[in-house]
Amino acid sequence: MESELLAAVLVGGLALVTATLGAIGGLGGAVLLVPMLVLLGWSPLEAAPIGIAMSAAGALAAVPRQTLTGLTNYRLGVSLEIAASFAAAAGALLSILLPVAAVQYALGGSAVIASMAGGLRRGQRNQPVEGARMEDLGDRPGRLASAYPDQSGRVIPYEIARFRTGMGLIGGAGLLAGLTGVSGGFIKTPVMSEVMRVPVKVAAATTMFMIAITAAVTIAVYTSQGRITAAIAPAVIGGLLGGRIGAAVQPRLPATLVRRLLSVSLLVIGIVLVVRA
Amino acid sequence: MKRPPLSPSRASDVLLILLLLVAFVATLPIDPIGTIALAVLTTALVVWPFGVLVWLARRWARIGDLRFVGLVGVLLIVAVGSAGLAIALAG
Repeated sequence: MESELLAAVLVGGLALVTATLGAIGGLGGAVLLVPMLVLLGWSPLEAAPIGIAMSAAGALAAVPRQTLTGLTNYRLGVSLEIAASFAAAAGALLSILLPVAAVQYALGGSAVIASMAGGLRRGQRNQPVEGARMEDLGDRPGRLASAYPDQSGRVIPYEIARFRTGMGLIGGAGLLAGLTGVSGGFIKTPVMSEVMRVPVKVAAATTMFMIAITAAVTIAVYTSQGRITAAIAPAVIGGLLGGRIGAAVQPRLPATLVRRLLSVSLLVIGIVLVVRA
Repeated sequence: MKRPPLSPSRASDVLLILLLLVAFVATLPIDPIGTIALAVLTTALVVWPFGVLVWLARRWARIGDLRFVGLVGVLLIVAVGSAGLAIALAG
């Protein structure tokens, strides 16, 4: 009983920290939580549902706040999520057939890829248009391009590049999400930001919306497999609180610092997991 | 006097608090309350993103953005269909 309580508190605390970091960087957070749980003794098959439940909870808490700030590009998110959802369900199905070591390799590889992608991301490309309003430059029917407000309220317009390549890569992220229990945000955000040239803050907020859908599909599959147990509840509590905290502090933190910290921790986690596998 | 509707920000705060309470109850080893709370929690996590999609489709339909209303429909079919297929194959 005591060890169960300790495990619940540990999962809740780790979920709080990882969901906060995940919401700030648009990474979801499961990519940090699942390897940590595996290192602490959970099997990857047990850790995956906990990770995806935390991601879903974090997104549920962060998305409404990020929508109010005008950062989420829903048209882009809906378009890209068609590929990610299909691939996530396929990955979740495959995860039960794969050996534990293979899942650990996939997880370690994912963390290293995320680390490199985060480390390679650059600063601000798009510049604000003085005197413009969101109504002038923001969402338009039939268009993916949009605009977002910066910290001082100035409107920054942006275009979308290499849509098909981005869609293919995000399909790959969905497959990994289902396969490993991570939300795939650590691939989606860099793909949108670096390949499709979407501003980092918009990419992060849009990714949180996409993570919610990917996670919902994966949770439905895990439920049918009997893998959703009371062990997810502390992760959901941590995810809800962390998602809300992350969405609130995201605009106030320098993105470069957050990306570097995440990059280093992901690299360490990835290397440890691959060595253990 | 008619009460004003909840603002989106306030409504999301209320939802968050409710879900936190349900999640807390789900951690308790008291059956069947814990099991029911877990079922409610899982259902909420699965259903709410689809609620957002329906909200988006209605919003875009109002402004005549039918291309993206169609894409929401495709996404709903792909998401629900692929999950259903995976569940059926796993079963």
